[in-house]
Amino acid sequence: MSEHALVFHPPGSRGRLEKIGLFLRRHRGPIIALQWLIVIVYSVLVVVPAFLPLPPEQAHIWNNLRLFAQFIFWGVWWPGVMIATVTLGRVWCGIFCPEGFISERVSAYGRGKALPRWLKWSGWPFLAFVCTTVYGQLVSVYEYPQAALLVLGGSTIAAIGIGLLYGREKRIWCRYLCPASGVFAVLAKIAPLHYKVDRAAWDRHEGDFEPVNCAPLVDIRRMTSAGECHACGRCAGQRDAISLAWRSPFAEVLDPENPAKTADAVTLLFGVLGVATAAFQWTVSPWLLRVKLFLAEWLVEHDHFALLADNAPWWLMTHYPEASDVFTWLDGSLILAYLIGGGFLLGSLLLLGPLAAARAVRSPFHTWQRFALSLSPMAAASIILGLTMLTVTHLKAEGFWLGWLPYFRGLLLAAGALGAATLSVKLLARATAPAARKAIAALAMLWPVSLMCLVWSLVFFFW
Amino acid sequence: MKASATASTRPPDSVPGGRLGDLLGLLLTLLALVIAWKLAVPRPAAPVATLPVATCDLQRESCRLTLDDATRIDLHLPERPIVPNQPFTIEGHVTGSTVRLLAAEVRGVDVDVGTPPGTFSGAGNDTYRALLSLPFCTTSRTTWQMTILLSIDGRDLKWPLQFQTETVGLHG
Repeated sequence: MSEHALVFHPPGSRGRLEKIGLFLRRHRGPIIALQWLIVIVYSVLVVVPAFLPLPPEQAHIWNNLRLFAQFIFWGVWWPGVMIATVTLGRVWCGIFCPEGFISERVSAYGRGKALPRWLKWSGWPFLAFVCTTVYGQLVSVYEYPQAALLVLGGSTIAAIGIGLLYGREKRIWCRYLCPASGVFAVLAKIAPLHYKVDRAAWDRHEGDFEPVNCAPLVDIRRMTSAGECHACGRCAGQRDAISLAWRSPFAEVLDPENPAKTADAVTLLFGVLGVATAAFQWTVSPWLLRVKLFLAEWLVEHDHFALLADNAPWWLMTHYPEASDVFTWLDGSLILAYLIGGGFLLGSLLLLGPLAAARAVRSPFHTWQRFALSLSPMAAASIILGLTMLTVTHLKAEGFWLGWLPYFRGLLLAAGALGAATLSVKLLARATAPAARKAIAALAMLWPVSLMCLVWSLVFFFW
Repeated sequence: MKASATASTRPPDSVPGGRLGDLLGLLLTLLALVIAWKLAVPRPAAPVATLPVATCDLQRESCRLTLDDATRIDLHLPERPIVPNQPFTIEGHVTGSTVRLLAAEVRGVDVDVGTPPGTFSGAGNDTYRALLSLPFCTTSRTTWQMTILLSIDGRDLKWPLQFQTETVGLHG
């Protein structure tokens, strides 16, 4: 006789993770104090270094504020934020981000206008991400604090402006315009932590409850994606229906209730895997160097010197003669072409895989957007690999031993590729198409994964 | 039921700390900025006065700068001539205890090349030495300007001197 055990949980019992979510909700005071502390540190690190002289040759990150800020921003913070988003969801946005916090706080005193239609366009995060990435490379945002002040400070001022104009205690900037929000939304889709919404529990809840102020304007009751949730914990326990919970990293992409949006797929293919990858690799690309030398020679031979002039202002293109770092108009044009042209070319080549897979399977669930989102693990690996290049540069300069680096990079790349391939296979396992078509789709999805592996192998192991 | 699920408008006081917290946070941010600024950003240095270019030729003779009856600087090259792309030493002897030689740098007058400043080190008996090296130059005859940075009574001063180099046989 088989025995079927039923386990009953008493209504009040909560898991440790759920308690963390509730803790975040109940302790808003300390969280807000922490957010102010981050605002203070952020303001000092983004403003003050811009007015410091170039560090002397013997300076280190621990005795020079300019180098320290550079390391903290680009070597620790930026890759750290991406790693946190992939592992914990958008906790950076909800708990730590100074820009979102300031935008929300100032909106409490602003005009509180209704959102205009243009602001709600779903393409802003992608467009803002591409523009910021390209502009950041042109002004060398990772190297010079003046450029960092311009890019980060400019973004913060824009966030404050939007906060003063629209919404009341809301994060309109984060929801619709933040250049990083598209990337965070894509990466959070594979985070194993999320705020789970139990629709049935929500609907059957009776009795009193405190209102919740969801700053990024998420429709909490219908929330199915960690991509839009800022993981601030303010709604934890709401109507006994929302809880911080574990999930499979593949769950969201495989969930039929969760629409695969075109904006997310485009951000992933053309933004994270396309333009961002081009931005990480142009400095080491021998192709770009060859083209540049060829064009420079051609321009000299034909007496065209305008493009070889280096008179662009620092806020348009890198111009630091005191550091012997000056871009000519030719440099700027080629970087622009490499990032936009190369990035979109790479994105288009990657798109072929999801398009072919969707065409082979032909089901309303298996859209090219969903296949594109199955590349999220690859995108996460790619962006972490790229951003840690800056960490490595700093650590190398400080004389740290980095013999482990090729293995770490190889492992991360393999994990990303394996994750994306597994997710594609799991997606195909849910299709009802004939096995041959599924096999074609699987092969098609191997293409973007292999292409990204090739691109990063060139950067790390061949160039 | 107390309220709807999402509140669209809430007063600022709904956040712990409210208006007072925001004011305190803003003031602390400004205070931190001011303190960090004061501690980290160097004050703009007073402009360094530059003397007229010396009329002597360092490649052929010693050069003397007389500041007053008791204070003078004699500069010479222990080994002449200076040749591009080769290190050379410049030696200075000061008379007058308040004078110190700090650094020397060389830049091309007609061509935009130069060297990083070489720091003078004391060699005893009020003598200072600095090691410099001219960059390789593509022209056979080049005029250079060496600028000596010196300190008199704590006030910095620049003393420019010019000389020429000739490279024989390299340029056909």
